Amino acid sequence: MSVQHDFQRWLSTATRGLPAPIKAMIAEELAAHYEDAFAEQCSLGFLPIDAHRAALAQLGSPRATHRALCAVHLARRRFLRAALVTMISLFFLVIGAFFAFQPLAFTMFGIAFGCYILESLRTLLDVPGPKKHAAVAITTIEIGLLSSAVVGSLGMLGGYSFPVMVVFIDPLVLTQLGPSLQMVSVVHVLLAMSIVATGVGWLILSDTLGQHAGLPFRRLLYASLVVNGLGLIGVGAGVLMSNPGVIIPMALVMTIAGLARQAILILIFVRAARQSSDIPWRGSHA
Amino acid sequence: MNFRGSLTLLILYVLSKGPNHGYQIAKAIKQQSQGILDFKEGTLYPTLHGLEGQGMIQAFEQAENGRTRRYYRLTQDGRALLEEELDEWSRYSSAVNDILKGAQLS
Repeated sequence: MSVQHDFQRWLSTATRGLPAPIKAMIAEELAAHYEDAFAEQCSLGFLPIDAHRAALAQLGSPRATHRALCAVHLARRRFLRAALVTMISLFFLVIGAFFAFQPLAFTMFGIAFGCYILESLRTLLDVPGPKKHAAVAITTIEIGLLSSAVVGSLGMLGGYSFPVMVVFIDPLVLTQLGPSLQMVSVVHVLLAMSIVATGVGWLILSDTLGQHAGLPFRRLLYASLVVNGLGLIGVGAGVLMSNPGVIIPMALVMTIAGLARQAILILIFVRAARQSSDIPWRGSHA
Repeated sequence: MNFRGSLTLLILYVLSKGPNHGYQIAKAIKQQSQGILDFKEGTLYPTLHGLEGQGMIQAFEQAENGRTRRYYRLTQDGRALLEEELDEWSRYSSAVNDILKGAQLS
């Protein structure tokens, strides 16, 4: 009773979020597999309850299966969405300066879009095999992004509205704000650490992406990521020194490299979408 | 043993012997390797579906013991890919063997 329920739960986790017709087909296929494994275990003399457990164990982690199924069946729409989100983030990066006085909403959009793009990149890189450096780099960037949002929000609450919140998301804003920087505080130190972590993440990722034979414009991408990463580290140092003379030029370099990076990522995602296909499941009857 | 990178080659090879369904493919890989190439079978299906999406294998349904089973067969493109993969594997394994032979002698 409960073992059958366990399998249904396994199946539900493994096929979560897939389109209904694909989900039904995969469920049927996996159920047949499970029944065969169960029958074989029984033929070896196992009690039914042990046979069920062994059959379930043979299937492995439902989450790993879910990730792999999504990578295959949702790849096209995922990469198309990622291209769209990257395009919007590129647009936001250009017009970000106009949002100088609504930093919270702007930052939240930036963080959400950034994480979605990074997760799509993770999916893309996971397709041919595990890329440990890339996974670490992406996680580092995400931690940097999220912690900068948290620190930035704390900074706003603490009366450090500028440049704490805005500097990270769109440094072009700084040129509008002028040199009215706050004195160095704990908030500045934490923000600088977040920015540097993000920069280091991009630098690690540049190494992996620069060697990835399946990506277009990879040398240009590599250069943009290196400049962007170094620019971020420079901005972090500038924030730590509370020195606009360092922050502004570094931020401009970082932004220009960031624009190039986003443009290349759009092309990468569009190409990945074109190369992927949501499996049609057109199996014929023999 | 972790052999994720070789799973595609093994699937194509098993299917080159004739059409089969997922359970039999997994069983063939495990049995023919005497259990050394063990893997979690749930992840076999995404690989099969990916190969189907690339046109390397073709799925068809067949009635079996009162239920419909999904079988896979190799396509012409799949056969060509298998040749390439076998060639690459042969070069790779002979390079590793050469190094290991040297290690045993020294």
